[in-house]
Amino acid sequence: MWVKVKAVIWLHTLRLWRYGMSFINMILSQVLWILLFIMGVLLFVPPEHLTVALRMAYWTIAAWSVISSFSSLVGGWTSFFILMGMVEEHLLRNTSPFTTIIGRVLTGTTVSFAIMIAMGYAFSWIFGRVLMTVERPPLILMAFALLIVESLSYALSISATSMRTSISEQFLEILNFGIIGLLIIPVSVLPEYARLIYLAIPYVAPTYMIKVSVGGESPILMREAALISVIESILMAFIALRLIRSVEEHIRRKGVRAVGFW
Amino acid sequence: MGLWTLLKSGLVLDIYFFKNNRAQLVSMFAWPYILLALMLGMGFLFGSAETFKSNVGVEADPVVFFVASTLIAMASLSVMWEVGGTVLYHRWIGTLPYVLIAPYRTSITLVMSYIPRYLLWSFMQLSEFVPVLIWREGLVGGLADTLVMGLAIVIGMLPLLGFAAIFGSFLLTIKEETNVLSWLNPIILILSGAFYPAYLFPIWARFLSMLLPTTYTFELARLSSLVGAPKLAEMTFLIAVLLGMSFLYNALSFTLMGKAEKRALKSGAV
Amino acid sequence: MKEEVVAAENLRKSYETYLRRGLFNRERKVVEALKGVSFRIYRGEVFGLLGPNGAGKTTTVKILSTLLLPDSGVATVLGYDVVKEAVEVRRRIGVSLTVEKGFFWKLTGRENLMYFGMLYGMDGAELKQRVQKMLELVGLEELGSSDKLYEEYSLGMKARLSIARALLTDPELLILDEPTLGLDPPSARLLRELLIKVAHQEGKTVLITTHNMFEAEIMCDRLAIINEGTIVAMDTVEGLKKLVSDEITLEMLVVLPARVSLKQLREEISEVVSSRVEVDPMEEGTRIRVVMRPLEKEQATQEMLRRLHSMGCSVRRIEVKEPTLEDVFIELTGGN
Ligand SMILES: Nc1ncnc2c1ncn2[C@@H]1O[C@H](COP(=O)(O)OP(=O)(O)OP(=O)(O)O)[C@@H](O)[C@H]1O
Ligand SMILES: [Mg+2]
Repeated sequence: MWVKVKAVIWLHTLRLWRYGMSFINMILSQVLWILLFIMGVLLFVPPEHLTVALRMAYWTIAAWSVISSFSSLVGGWTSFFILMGMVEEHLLRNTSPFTTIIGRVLTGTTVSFAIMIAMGYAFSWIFGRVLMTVERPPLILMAFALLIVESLSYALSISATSMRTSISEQFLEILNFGIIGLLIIPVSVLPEYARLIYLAIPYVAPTYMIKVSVGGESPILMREAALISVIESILMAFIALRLIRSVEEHIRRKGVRAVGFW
Repeated sequence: MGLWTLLKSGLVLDIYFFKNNRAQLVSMFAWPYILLALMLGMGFLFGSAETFKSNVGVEADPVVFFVASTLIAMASLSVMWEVGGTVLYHRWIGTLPYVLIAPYRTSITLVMSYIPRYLLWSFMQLSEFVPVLIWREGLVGGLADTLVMGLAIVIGMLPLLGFAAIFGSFLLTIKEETNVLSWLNPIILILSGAFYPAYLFPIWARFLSMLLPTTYTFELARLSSLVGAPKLAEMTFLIAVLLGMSFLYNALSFTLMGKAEKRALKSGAV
Repeated sequence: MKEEVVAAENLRKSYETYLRRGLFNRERKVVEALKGVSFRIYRGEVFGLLGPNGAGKTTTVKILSTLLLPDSGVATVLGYDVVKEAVEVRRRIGVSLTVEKGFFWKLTGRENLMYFGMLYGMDGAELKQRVQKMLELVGLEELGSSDKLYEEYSLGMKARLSIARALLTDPELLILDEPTLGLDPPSARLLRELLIKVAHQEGKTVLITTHNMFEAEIMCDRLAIINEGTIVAMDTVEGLKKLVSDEITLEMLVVLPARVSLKQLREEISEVVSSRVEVDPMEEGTRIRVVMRPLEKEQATQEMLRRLHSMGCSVRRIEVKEPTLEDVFIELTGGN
């Protein structure tokens, strides 16, 4: 078992290295797109609020970059994995194909944190504001960890479902992008009764924790957010695992060629 | 005769593509609205229309401003991808050699088979915004805005075709497969003031933006967002600049593409 | 007593598909890929599965390699049930499903083998040595390609790597789906010799599918011809040929000395073989055509030559016309 884990880690590290140029390309372009977008938003912001707005935007987008990187680098990679005939090759070696797909966490984490850092430097340089300061480092680490679990579970669920049905990646992309709009809303602008409902939406609670830990929001709902995000992560991971099981069954019954996604 | 066939073939290809790819069709329509909604939503969350006007320095309606910006950004990206990026695309799927040995000049093939599609899609996206424009400016004002934006879509395309083809010829000569356009495109958009007017830039950036045809297209389309100012003089000026640039960039692309083709065939970069 | 390595009993498999015509018109259709397939493969044997496109070869191969569950029927590999004891089966077989898929592009051939080796639990120096040995065995080392990225491989190199991976764990049974597809003659020959050696000298068992008649004929100890999901014939190459035609035609062109007449010649030869003999004068000499049964072939031919010699005839040309495996294939699969 240990050797398999080692194999997967080795594989993804090696591939990260070999595809280095494309990853750098991807990071660069993501940062530039975000910059383009943020500049438009900043036209509305009065100079005295600029720092606050930038910080909020920066950390929300940082959280989003984890979500979107995982969905493209883990979820999106699955179709490539299937096309390459890798599902069979792994099953033949008594290895679940999802072991290798989950291994993409390595790639996803590396890329999303690289985006975060590059974006932080770019924004700080262009707008002359300090953005990457954290008030509660342990909290933010935990929040990111939970966010990663949720994003990974979602990505795996998507890739598992895409092995059975045909969901188009375009929809996922739009959905992904739209999530920024959801995440950016400060809890404080919502009416009391809506706050918990808002936090219960996947990704929202960990993002709220991130915003709290950088001092972007008041910590009034910290305890609830922590609880919700832990439960949610476990739940999402559980669903992902169930889906994976059922897909593995399905594949053996119907053949991988029947795995239709176009 | 030949050109007509090319125009038609481009359209047919596209219709087939979307017939088998309805998701793409939906996303095509959804994107502009999502982008617009996000930008305005975040803008109003952190600031106000008043600040917007004082930052931009003119009496402009932010909604119409960003409708125009989004529309032109989408249209310009489409040109950059489809004309500049086809080289990459054909290289990835392995059809580049066939394009190069087709009986027309590559640049003409690329451009002609693309124009109908561009117009089709850009005008469809424009029409999906008409209700918003009418809501902001009333029936007459909204339709006038639509007209201005439509004009920008058509005239802005002319220089950009040549500009994008120059990129295409550049991509043709390098043997690289990675997607340079994925970061060149946002740079071009940023520099041409897609969502943040170029006249607010520091001087060196403003100089670069003056060379880009898209800068003027954005300006032209955004004239529609001005509240009640006389626009005719500015409009004529911008149109003149765009037409001048069309001539310049297309002539340049024509020679460059021919050279690039020869070099590509020689060096085996196909 | 021959040891059974593979035993397939009445395997059936249907696929459900949709025919797509136009946008909304979807028509459900059930394809019966296997309609009750049974066969056995014994240790040390190269067994070939021969059949036209869509006959069900790959389906059979996938069921045996545990990648696909049969709708009904039982198959065991090395005594393990492919459905219930898939894990055990997988440990003991080496499989190559396609020659040009299933590897990571940005890894070298060696790195790919290392990765898949680790999935078997191999590691360290043992794995390195084994990988090196396999690379040498399939000739990638000789081509200097072991450390090239997979994306730079030619088709033949990919096929070699695929075989190397199948052999990596030194499995008792090799299952190869069209292993020589797209290979140039020297590569194909190398591969065939390798597989024959593995089977006949090391006592491994090999199951291959192929369209290539020549290959089937020289490699396979036994062959099953499968058509539309049914095995229509199973035997050795010789045995299969007999199915189609029980006759061999021998044609000779001889130059007779002046003293020998055509009649004499015919009588002389008719004594040797039981069936009909034709003798026709031609421009360049005399053509003799004899139809024989396979059993008499060798003796009769020798005797005939001896007699011709003693009559003073010189033989210009001899041609034996046997049914080819291709004749068998086309006859049995009803190809046109
Ligand atoms: N996953 C699948 N879904 C639906 N139909 C399938 C699937 N796999 C195979 N089939 C059908 O089953 C039949 C047998 O296919 P199979 O792949 O076993 O043929 P084959 O003998 O390997 O052919 P070839 O020589 O072309 O490789 C064909 O009609 C094929 O269309
Ligand atoms: Mg097959």
